[in-house]
Amino acid sequence: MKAFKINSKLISVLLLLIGCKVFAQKKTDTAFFNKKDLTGWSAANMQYWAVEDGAIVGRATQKVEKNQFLWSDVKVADFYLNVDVLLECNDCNAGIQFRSKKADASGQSIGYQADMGRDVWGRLYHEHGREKLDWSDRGEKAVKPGQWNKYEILASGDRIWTAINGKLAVSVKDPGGDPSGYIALQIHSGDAQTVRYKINSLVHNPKVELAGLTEAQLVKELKLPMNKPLGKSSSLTFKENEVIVFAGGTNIVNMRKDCYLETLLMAANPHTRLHIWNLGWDGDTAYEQFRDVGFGKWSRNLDSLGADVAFIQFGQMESLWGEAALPEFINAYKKLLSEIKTGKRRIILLSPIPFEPENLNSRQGKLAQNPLINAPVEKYAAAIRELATQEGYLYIDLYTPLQKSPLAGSLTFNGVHLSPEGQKVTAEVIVQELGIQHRITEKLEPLRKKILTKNQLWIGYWRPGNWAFLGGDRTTVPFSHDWKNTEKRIFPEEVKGFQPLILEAENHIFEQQNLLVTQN
Amino acid sequence: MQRLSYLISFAFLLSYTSFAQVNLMSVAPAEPDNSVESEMASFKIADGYKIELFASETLGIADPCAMRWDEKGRLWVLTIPSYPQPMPGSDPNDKLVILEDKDGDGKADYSSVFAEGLNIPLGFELGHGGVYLGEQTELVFLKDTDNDGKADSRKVLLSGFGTHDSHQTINSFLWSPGGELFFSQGHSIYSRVETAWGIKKADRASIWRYRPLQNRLDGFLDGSTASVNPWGMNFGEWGEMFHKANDPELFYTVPGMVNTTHRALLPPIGELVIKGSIIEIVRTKHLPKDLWGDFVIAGYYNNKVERMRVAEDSSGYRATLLDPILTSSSRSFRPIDIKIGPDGAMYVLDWYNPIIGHYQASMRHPDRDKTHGRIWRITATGRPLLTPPVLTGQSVPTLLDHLKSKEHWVRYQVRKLLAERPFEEVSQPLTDWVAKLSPADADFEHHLLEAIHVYESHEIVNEDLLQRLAKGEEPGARGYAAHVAGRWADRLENPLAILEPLINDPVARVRLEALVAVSDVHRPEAMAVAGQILNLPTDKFIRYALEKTVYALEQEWEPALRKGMLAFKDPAHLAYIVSVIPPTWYTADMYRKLISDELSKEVKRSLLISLAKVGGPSDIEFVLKPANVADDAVLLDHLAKTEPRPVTQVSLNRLKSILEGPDNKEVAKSAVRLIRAWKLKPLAPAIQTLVSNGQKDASLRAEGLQTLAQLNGRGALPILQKLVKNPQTPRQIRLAGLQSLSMLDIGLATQATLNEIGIFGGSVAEFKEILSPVLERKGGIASLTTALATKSLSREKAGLMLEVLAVKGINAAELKTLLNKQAGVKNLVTRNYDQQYVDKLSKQVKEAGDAGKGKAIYMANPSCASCHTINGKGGNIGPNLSAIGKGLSTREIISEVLWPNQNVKEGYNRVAVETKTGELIQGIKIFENAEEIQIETTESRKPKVLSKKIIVSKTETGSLMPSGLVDNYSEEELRDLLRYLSDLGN
Repeated sequence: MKAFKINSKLISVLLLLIGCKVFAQKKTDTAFFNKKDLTGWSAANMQYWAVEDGAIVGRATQKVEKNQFLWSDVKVADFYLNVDVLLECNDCNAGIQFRSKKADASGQSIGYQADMGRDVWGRLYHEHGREKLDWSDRGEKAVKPGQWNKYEILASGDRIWTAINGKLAVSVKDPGGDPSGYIALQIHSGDAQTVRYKINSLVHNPKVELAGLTEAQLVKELKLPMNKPLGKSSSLTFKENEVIVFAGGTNIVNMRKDCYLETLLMAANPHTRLHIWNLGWDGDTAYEQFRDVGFGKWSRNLDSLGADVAFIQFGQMESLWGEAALPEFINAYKKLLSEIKTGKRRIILLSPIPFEPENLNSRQGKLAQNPLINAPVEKYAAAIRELATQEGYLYIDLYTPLQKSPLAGSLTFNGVHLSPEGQKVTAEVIVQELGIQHRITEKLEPLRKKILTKNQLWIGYWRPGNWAFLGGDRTTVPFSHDWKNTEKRIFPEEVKGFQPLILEAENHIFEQQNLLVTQN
Repeated sequence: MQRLSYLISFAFLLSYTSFAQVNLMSVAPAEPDNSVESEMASFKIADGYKIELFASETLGIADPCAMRWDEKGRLWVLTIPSYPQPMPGSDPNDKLVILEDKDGDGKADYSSVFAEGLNIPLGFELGHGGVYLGEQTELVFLKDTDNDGKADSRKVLLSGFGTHDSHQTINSFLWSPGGELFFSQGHSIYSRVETAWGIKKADRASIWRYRPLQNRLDGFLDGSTASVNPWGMNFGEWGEMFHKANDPELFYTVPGMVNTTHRALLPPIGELVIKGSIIEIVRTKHLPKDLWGDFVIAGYYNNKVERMRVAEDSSGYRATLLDPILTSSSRSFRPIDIKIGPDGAMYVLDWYNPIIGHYQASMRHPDRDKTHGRIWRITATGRPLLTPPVLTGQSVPTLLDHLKSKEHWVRYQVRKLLAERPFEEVSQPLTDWVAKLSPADADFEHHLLEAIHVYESHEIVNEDLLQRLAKGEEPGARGYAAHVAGRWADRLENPLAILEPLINDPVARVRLEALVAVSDVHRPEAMAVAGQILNLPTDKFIRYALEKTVYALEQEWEPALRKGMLAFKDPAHLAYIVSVIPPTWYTADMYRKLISDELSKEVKRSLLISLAKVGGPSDIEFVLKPANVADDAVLLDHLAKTEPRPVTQVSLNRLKSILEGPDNKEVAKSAVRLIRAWKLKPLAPAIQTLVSNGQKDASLRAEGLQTLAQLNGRGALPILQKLVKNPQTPRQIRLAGLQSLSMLDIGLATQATLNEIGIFGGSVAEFKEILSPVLERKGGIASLTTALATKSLSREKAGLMLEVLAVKGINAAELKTLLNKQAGVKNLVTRNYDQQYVDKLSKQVKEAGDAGKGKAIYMANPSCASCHTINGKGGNIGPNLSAIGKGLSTREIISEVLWPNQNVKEGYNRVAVETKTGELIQGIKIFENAEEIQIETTESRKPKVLSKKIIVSKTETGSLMPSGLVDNYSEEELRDLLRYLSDLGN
């Protein structure tokens, strides 16, 4: 089942990419809501939802811990939605998600939200993502607090408008934003509350007109969102035999010891025979990637491996230089990435992870000042996000999710580097951003073990000890040569002995992947 | 499959820069008898000592590389059979083994494995209830959490140490008295370690200091500035730090413990004849008094346990080599660690291997011994062995009392035990212990010292104790107090208040410690305090540390000085600091204010140079004032190295008056060089007058001639040719003329050179001087070759010219052939590498070689001694040959002598550069960075410092030793020469 799901997703993304909407026709969706029951709708917790008087009612009788969403099965891309809404207590908050997707099993949402509630009426928010997009108060002025209000949403390509009671509220051109997704209705976390959504119509591929304005007039109103879209990580897909590399400092190096991200990527792509190579090197920064003579520089490593996809992480160590060095860092990072940028290669920038100053010294050593406390990692992360947007790289924010993780504070073993548990959490955050549903479970353990074996061989092959004699400045001395046939260099030959072992280890990985699929 | 081919190309096709494929030398066969008895019989022990076996491979310690005692008297041994390189697909299985002598008979009788499956770890130390282990890129902490005697927890503390050479990864771990873990790395190691204090970098050999409670790492002396391969440190009774190079040198480390990336070569304090590592300092009642305080060193290279005596020398030390304690005639006896044991005996870890070279033999050479490893125990005859106190499970007060022990072993263990107890347990007993100490006790201050070590190891500041030590009677106490004030600088209210009196201490060693400590106080005023060290006489150690301190504190003092917020007690202090790092914003007026006759000559000179660099015409006039230049030729030479500065008539007159004056000829020569460098054409007539003045000193006129050639270009050719051709012209001037001619016209220079050797020159040295200008000029060799094709030299002169080529390390095949013909060398044998020939020759050397005759051959060949030293005599640019027979087999020596390009010793690769002006310089590269390269040539021990800006090309290949050096030797001569070399050191 899982495999099928992923494939269908791939196809839909692919279709979007080739621009199938050119042929789309205007169509009212009658199956969207039948005004009687919640057929075609689902929620992690259905107790909050009901249909009363032809309207969907979201009701919480006591304090709600987490946001609740009622998801429609209908996927929307270009659409017009007309809803009457009644937010019984105006200090409460609700909203309509569109072109959104589920963030996790609890039904949390990622995507656009037409917002409702005091001070947010008629504003466009990007839930679990970019947050504020259009924050004008036009909708706020048009709303009738505590009464029924008409809420209209129009989305066409990268243009989004909303109107409240016939007055234009949101008007955003959002290139690179979410092109499609699902509609969901919200009950916001907080006190007991009731919100009513009376759905009047949903039209696919609508004519572009709203609030008495023509398309031309609406276009005039458009402006860019407050927070531009990041790379669209969800569009990352892998093809047969593609090569994925990981590059960065010690946190990347350590990934090869726990292999969580690799395991999840392999589990989610059982049929694509991916080749994953960890090129992490302790102490690599955007400024310097030291390699010994003859090793080949960082960018060359990626190229010669034929990397199709590169996950790259810099910025954590660099943030210790302070905020003043941030422009210099970004310049260095940009320059470094430009060395590996090709038309085809997909580059994913992983944000640095937060420091955990309290973990710096496990044995309570007294310090006058903990250098991790004031390091502006968050600012570095934000700047990397900006860089990704400008340069068209995908960006995955690790900083915020790890900061907010229930395990925050115990994700590193020394305040800087992820513990195995931290690696696991981080890997799950990354795949979640990539739209992969897999989580680390016992079931994946055999696969992970095989990957671990492959990685041990890989490091013996790629970064063997005694490099000076293998390929550095000491290749002519006897060490790397045969002791009898002195012309013959045995060390390079010996290291080549890793190749069949790595191939074999990869085959074991593929066998495990297949097992996972067939066992399902 | 296709993918994997990418993978392959990436690692292999890019990179290998192999040239001249390659010899393979084997090494001598292993000892015929590898038994313990046979090795035992090979020992010659100093009078009054006895040597016995403590443990051998039968207890699972084959390939041992380090050992440490625990408080129970168990000996932990690290074994590395995976060395030098694990096989693909095989899991390395190096082990940490614990040896015990359960029945107390002085022999280990029980062993257990604490950790296995390790990957070539080179060092470890016990502490905090576990093991700190250096394993490849990582410093890990192993622990046995369930008390079954096996490690079950592994935590990486730091990672990113280099692995480019598996015999140089992090090694020789040792606790400082204050609970810091020290270790080192070797010459091919490049480390980048991510820490909370940023990325710690160390390129090439370096010493690391790790403070475990803070998880803080700091590196010192990288760039191989204090030994190419440091291996082994130790601390004196007052915490003085020393370290041993794997090479002959011994170092006093303290001046280098200034935390800065500025590199400078630390002067050693003494040396062995040949390599040796590890320092154990004898501090036990068991061994004879005569040995107390001596340094015992593991002479792994020449199969000895060496002994050095270390005496105070101004602010540092000086070491002299005494007779060895142990010598072995077995080439497989390889002492690589030495520890005094709990019984006071000296334990010697024996790697037992005929091959010690990492690179000198194939990684898979079958003689790399994988099955033996021994620990020897040296005791003093007639002196009772000691029974160590029971330390396990003792209360804190009991442990504290053991800090009064005279036995260093006991105190080392107790410090470790106290460091791993929670401070809450230690705190009160420690306070009470200190309170009860009697000032009347002769060791009172040393006990205070031990107390402060406990605080240090817990990273707890005790300022009161620190103050008491700072006011101690013992210089050692004050010196150590300074050290601690530096360590605690970030947590003390006013560390400088403690350090200021100490930097003015009457004892130089205390002042040095205070200076190094001040370099850790990151406040602007620290620079002013550091400057006070100039109040009393300085020495090489203090000057070394002071220069580094100026760099270490630059971020603090420089901005403060700029804002006018940093005051110095004596302008001379500021002058010194500014002379080390001239601030970019410093103006001529500022320099003028600082410059006074009170300053030392060096400081004043440095400031004058800085002034010249930023100053205007009137400042140059000032710099050139007679009072400044009258007796400072070096100043003028430095000015000559700066960009040309604006020169007024006054300045010109000043220079002219130097030329005309009767005063100092060195100053006048420097002035002439300055005129040349700054191209002061208006002074050309004055120079011409000087050159033509036969009354003037010849060397001055020679210098002038070169300047004239520079100023007038080809216009100077007539006078040049006239002087060069005239046999009456003093020789020096003729040589200078050749030099200038070679710059202006290589053809004319070649003719003049041949003319010169036709008339003059009867020795290699003289010929070298005549020929060098043309040989060191682009196109010179070609021009000489062409000229000699038609003009024949006498046999003798052709022979001399051949010698010159050899001595200068020039490989010029065509020229050599011509010269050989003219020299009438008939039995010239070009020996191509051939393994059978090597075998045959090796046999002849052993059977029939005559070392006495060989020595005569060696001595008669000037090219050998121009580069190599034997027993203190000879050049420095090639490897020291004093004990070559110990380190290399005959077969290896044959290869080295006949085919020197095949196997160039670490650090002896030939480098050749060409400058923009067509000068060719070749030699051994001493240092290189983005700005400059330093080359040591056969001409001078002082390296040539060349700016990268003037270099147009650079090649680094092979050896400086030319091949074919022995081509004109007969087989017999060659055999004897090789025998002489093979016997060296044996």
